Order: sequence, then C-alpha cells, then structure tokens
Amino acid sequence: MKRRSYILATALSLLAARWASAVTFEASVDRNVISLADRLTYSLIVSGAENASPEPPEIKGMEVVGRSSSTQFSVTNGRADIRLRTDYILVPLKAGQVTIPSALLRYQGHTYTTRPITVKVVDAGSALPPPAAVEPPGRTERAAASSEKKEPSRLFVRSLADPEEVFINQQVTLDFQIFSALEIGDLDYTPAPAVGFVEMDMGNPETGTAVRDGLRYRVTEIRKAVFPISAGELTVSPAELRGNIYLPRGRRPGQDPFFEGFFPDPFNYERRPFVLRSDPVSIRVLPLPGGAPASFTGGVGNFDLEVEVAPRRVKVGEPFTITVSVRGIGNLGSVGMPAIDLGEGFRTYEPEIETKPEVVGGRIGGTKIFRTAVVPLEDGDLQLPDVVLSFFDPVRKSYEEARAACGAVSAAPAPEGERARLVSAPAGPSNREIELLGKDILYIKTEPGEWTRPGESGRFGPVFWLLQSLPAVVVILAWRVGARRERLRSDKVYARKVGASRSARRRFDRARRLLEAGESREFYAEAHRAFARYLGDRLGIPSAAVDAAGVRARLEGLKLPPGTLDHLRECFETCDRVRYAPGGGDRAEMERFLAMAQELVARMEKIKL
Amino acid sequence: MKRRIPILLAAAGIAAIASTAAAAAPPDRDSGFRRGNDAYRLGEYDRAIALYREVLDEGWAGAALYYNLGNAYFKTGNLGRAVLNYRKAWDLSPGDPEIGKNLEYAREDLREDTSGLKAGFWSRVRRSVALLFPPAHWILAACAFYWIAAVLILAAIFLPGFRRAAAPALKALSVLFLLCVLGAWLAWGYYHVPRAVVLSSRVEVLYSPAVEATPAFVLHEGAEVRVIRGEGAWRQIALPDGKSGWVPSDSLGLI
Repeated sequence: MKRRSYILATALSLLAARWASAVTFEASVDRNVISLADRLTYSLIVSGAENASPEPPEIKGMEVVGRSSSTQFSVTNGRADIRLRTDYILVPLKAGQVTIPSALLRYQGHTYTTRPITVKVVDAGSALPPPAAVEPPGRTERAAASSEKKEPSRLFVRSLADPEEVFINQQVTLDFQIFSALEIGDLDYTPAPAVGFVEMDMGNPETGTAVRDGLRYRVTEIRKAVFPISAGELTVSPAELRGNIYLPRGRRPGQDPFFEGFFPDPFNYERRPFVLRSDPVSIRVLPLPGGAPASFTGGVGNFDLEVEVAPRRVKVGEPFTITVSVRGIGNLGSVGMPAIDLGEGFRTYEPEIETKPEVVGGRIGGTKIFRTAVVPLEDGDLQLPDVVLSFFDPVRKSYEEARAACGAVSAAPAPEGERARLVSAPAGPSNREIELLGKDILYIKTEPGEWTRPGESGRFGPVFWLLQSLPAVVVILAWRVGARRERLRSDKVYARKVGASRSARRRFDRARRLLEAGESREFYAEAHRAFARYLGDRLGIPSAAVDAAGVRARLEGLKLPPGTLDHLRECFETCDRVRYAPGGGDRAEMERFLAMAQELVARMEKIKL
Repeated sequence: MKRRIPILLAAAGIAAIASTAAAAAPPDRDSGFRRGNDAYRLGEYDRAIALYREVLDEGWAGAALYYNLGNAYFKTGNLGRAVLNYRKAWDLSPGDPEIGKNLEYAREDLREDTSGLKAGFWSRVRRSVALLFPPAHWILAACAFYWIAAVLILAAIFLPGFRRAAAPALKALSVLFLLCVLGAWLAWGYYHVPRAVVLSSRVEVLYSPAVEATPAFVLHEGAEVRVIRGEGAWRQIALPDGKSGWVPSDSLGLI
C-alpha cells in the first residue's frame, strides 16, 4: 500500500512540474449584451495549474448570485493537462456599460491576470425581442467559436392580435403573453389602451408551460376581445407588465448542494424589479361593404333569431310580450332591436334589453334578449309579422338574414269603459325605470355642523360619570328607608322599641305641663306612664304588666351602670307612694321625681337591649 | 387720588386680560369652512383643501369638515386621502348617509377593498355593532335604561302595589342595559383600535420592518388597515382576514 502511494505521489510531482511550465489564465463571458432581467455567466479558466485559486475581481454594477467550479484532467501523448473552470453567475444592478476588471491568479510565485471585459446592460423590456427573433446579442469570440447553444431570454412578453385585418365591429383577440423561466411575482399588469375599439374581457388569465429553445417557460396569457368602431389603420398601444424577479442569493453556509434543487429556500431570495412592454400592434380595419339591407341593425358576426309571444290570448287593452332572442357570435352591443312592423292596430312600448355575454371557443358572443310589451287596440285573431334581423358575416363577407315567425295573437273585445280609456290614454312609454346618466360623489356639506377637538369625540367628562352614581345612591337610601318602614309596620315589638324614646319624651312634656299646673296626681300618673311604658316598650313587656319586680327580673344579668336598679326601684316606689297618698307631693318633690324619671330613661337609652 | 389708584390698576388689569383673550381667541372656524366651500364651488379644489386644512391645523375637527375635505381630495384624484377623510368623517358621524355614499363610491375605485374582506366572527360582530351606533350612543342608551330602572325601583319601594307591575319592566330594562353596555364595549373596541388608510399608490407589506425583508403582499392606495404596533419608521398592519405585515409609516394615514 505504502509502495503504491509513493508511486502515485512521484507521478503527480512529475506531472505538476510539467503543468507549472504551461499555466494559462483566461476570463470570458457568455455574452456581451444582456438585459436587466438576464443573468451573465463570467468564467475564469486556469490551465496547467494544480490547486490554483483565482481571485475574481470586484465588479461594480453587478452582483454575484451563484458560483460553480469544475476540474478536468486529461493526458494526451504523455502530456498531462489540468483545467480548472470557475463560473460566476452575475446579475446586473443597473443599465449601462459595465466593465469587469482583470481577475488575478497567484501561482508558484507568478502572477497572472485576465483582460478586462466590457458588458452592455440594457433595459429589460427593450433588450428582449420576441422569442422567434431571440438572438442573444453581442456574443463573445469565445462563445462564437464554441459549439455551445445560444441562450434565449428568460423573461419576455409579447402581444398578438388575431386577426390583424378585420371589418368594423368584428372581433380581434388581443393576447398578451408573459414567458418566464425565472421566479417572478408581484405582477402589475397595465393593459394596452385600445383607442378606437370597444373592449371586452375574456375571463381570467390562463397559465401553462411551453418549451422554447430548450428552455421551459411558464406562460401566462391575458386575453381580451376588442371590436373596432371605425375603419382605417388602428394601433393598440403597448401593454406594460411590472413585477419583481426573485433571484436565489446562492447557497447558504452549511447547506448541502445536493439538496439545493430539491428544497429551495423561500427566504433566501433577492428581488429585482422589472418593467416589460409589449410591442404595439397594428390592425387594419375595413369598412362594411355597401348595400346593407333595411333590417340590418349593426350586428357583425353570425346570429340566430328566436321569437316567443306570450300570452297568445288577451283582451283588447291587455299587453302581451314579444321576446326576441338574438343568439350567436359577435359583438352583441352593436346588435340593435330587429324591427317589427306591427301596424296601426297595436301600441308598442320601449323594449327591455338583456344581454348575456359568453365566450365560446375564444370568441365573444352570447344572447341579447329584447322584450317588447305590445297592447292590441282591436279585437280578433291578429297575425303578427315575422321578425327579421340582418347582419354582416365577416367570414362569408356578405350580409345575411335571420328570420323567425311570431304567429298570431287572439284579442278578445274589451269592456266599453276599458276601451274608452285605451283610446284616450296618451301614447308613450310608461312604467319605465329612471334613466341613470352618470355617477359622482355627493356634494359638499354647506353647514359645518358640530365642531370637536380631534381625539375628543365621544368622551364623557367626570361630571357625567359622577351624575351616574346618583340613581344608585338614591336607590340604596330609599331601599333602606323602605325596609325600615316595612319592619315598623310588620314587627310591633320593634316598632315599640324604636318609638319608646319619642313617646317617653312626649309624656314627660305632658307631665311637665301638669307640674306647672299643680295637678300632682295627674302629674305622677303621667310621669309613671312615661317611664313605665318606656321600659315596657324597650323590654317587650305589655304596658299593663310593667312593675318594679318584672323590670328588675328582665334587667338582672345585663351589664348596667352602677345604681341603675336602685334608681329604678326608687322611681317605682316614689311614684306608688305619691300616687296613692292623700294630698300628693309638693312642687319640689314633683320636680325631683320628674328629674329622676328622666334620668332613668336617659340611662336606659344608653343600654343596648 | 390714593383711592383711585387701585381702581385704575384694576381697570388696567381687566383691559390687559381682555386684550390677551382677544388675541388668543381661535380664528373663525366657520368662516374658514365656508371659504373652503366657496373654493370648492369654483372648482379650485387645491385651494379648498388648503383652506379646510387650515381649520384642521387650528385644532378643530368635524364630520362636515372631513367630509368636504374628502370630496376635495376625491376631485383632485387623491383617492387615498379622500377615503381617509371620509373615514374620519364617518367615525365622527356614523350613519350619515352622504358620508356613507361617498365612502362607498370612493371604495369602488380602489384596487382592493379591504373592508369587504372576510373577517373573523367577532370582528364582524364588532364592526356591525359599531356601524349600527357609535360607542357614545350605546353609552347614552345604557344610561337612559339605568335611570328609568332607578325610577321604577324607587316607585316599587314606596308604592308596594306597583311592585308586581314593575318586576317584568325591570327585567326588560336590565336586559336592555346589559345589551347596551355590551354594544358600547364592542363599538369602543372597533373605534379605538388604531386604523389607517394606505396613502401610497402601491406599498409592499413586508414580513419584518426592514427594507430588505421579504414582501408578503401588496396593498394599494385607499386600502384600510388596522395598525397593530410601530417600530421606528415602520408600522405593523393587519387586514380583517388576518394577513399582517410591516409598511413604512409614511405610506399610511391614521384615521
């Protein structure tokens, strides 16, 4: 094994010695004129140098978006050769002349340089001829000498008109095609303004693929139908397409090149805006030939007629409807109402028109329905004339006629009054919809209305919110008052307890007046009632059962101020003594007793029972 | 003479205060508004815009002012600013038929009408409630029901015979009150989320607030968006259907 390695190393050393003597370093580009939407391949080729590392120049006006390298060994007539090729994929950043400076190769003490290369970058739209005329401009000598295939543009648009010679009101299909072999997005399509034509949409864009010059394109087709309204040489202006090209930024560090194609990184793209314009399209419009029949109403295409009359049995004065359906291929907008000459015996109204356009096999067509209300003015079996429509067929290049029979309508006589009204009724349309003439914004307001400060609208101040608390406070207070009133009404014991103090005060006042009057017996009786009833009310004892022993028994065990029970006993004793003793007490005695009784009530008020 | 000095000083003070007040008095906003209208009538829409804006710059706002300003912008072909001012007018006077019509008409010309995007259930409810009445109206209605309920409660407290009749009325009032509070909350949520209108003719909405960021989608002039947050000169916006991204703040006009 060691022996084999030695031989191989020796052989390679010998070969290296020979390569070193014939080192060449060249630079080339795949073309000298590119568009902003294209990519340029810049190649550095080193021959006769092993492990060489060419240094690419810094290119102003272009950006490197990809790099690949390959090495080729060859031995011819005992002479070994090694060829290292490094391709750089460049994207132009702006239009104009871009000079790629010399690249550098330092190898075994020698310095090799390439010649500078000038590339012309043109605007994307102008640099992209139609695919049939795709000719990569400015091929380099190297490319011309090589057998490599020409590289077509990767993004271009084109406009087609079909056909390019038409009659007035004949359909021309404008087809705007976007060919893209690049990742493009954010497309903003501005259709070509078709002055002198009536335009009609032909549905949503269609997307497919196509292979041209070995390159697979995604093709988007945007179609619209136009109908010339005057004869002569008309031109459809260029359509414009704006968007962005998404270019891969190159391999990210650590990404395995094998998986690069299988798992494209959606975030590692760079956007380049582009604008493409199609070429203007000329259309030759021929006038319609003379000799149009009287029933020609302007239709160009191929149409059929269908007529429906309903109801077929009416009274004089009652309307029936003639429905004429014009169906076929062509601009229905130019088809007028086929004339129906009903004569004097009918009154006709303005027709109601309904158009149902459709696209059939790439041609605009559909159905146009004319509904005419007709009122018979005479009775009998009334034969209606045929409906005739003439149109110009651009294929046959002649006027054609479509005809449909209306049949007959049976009109019964109307009552006399109805008939009189019919005869006197003014002629003219009725029950028509209001004709809309245009649309615009409504007029300005003449009054400024309510002023506000920006950002202050709809805000309520603190006074407002404070005011909102008022009902709640009032309701709470009212509820408490109501509850108290309810208890006073339903709970007698509670009511006596609550009213005890006030009633005692009232009685003491009355006792005072008796004292002043010198009526001692009545005074003592009233004073006794005052404190005895007070005690009864407070302690829940019936008034008649209040005595010293009973009150004392109820008060024992309660926390009372010292001397209260003695005070109580003294009050009862004094009262009993004086009330039943002859002559009663003197004024000083009465004063003392009143004070004692009031003191007792005052003391009891402080006690929580 | 000594007695007259304080009187003279007081008079001088009053005169000074009066002159200061006169100097600080706001210019006649009504007159500015009417001069704008005159310019509009003459078809001088740019001058009308300048005159309406003068009133705005003085710190005054009004539904009629925003509406007329929107009209003037519309006439000059500035669709984004027209929609912006109609929306401001609508917020101040929701339900105004003229504002609604013009806003609808202006939106017909937009490249994309974000107001018509399919929004989430709650967003649609909030929008419907807010467009029914503004938050202030919901609050006033809730207060009215609350006051009526308070009066009924007081009557029921003091008139026991009235209680039986008051009970169902109070239940109905409670439900109405709660509905109005809910309505106020939903409408407030709709109007107090910052909203903006795209003023640039075309703006790419990016995944992050950086020039080199990947674009997510494109919006055009007049599109209405919700503003979620800001970072420097960038604003994160969202559409009713949930799409979100970053745009330069100068491409938006806050409603």
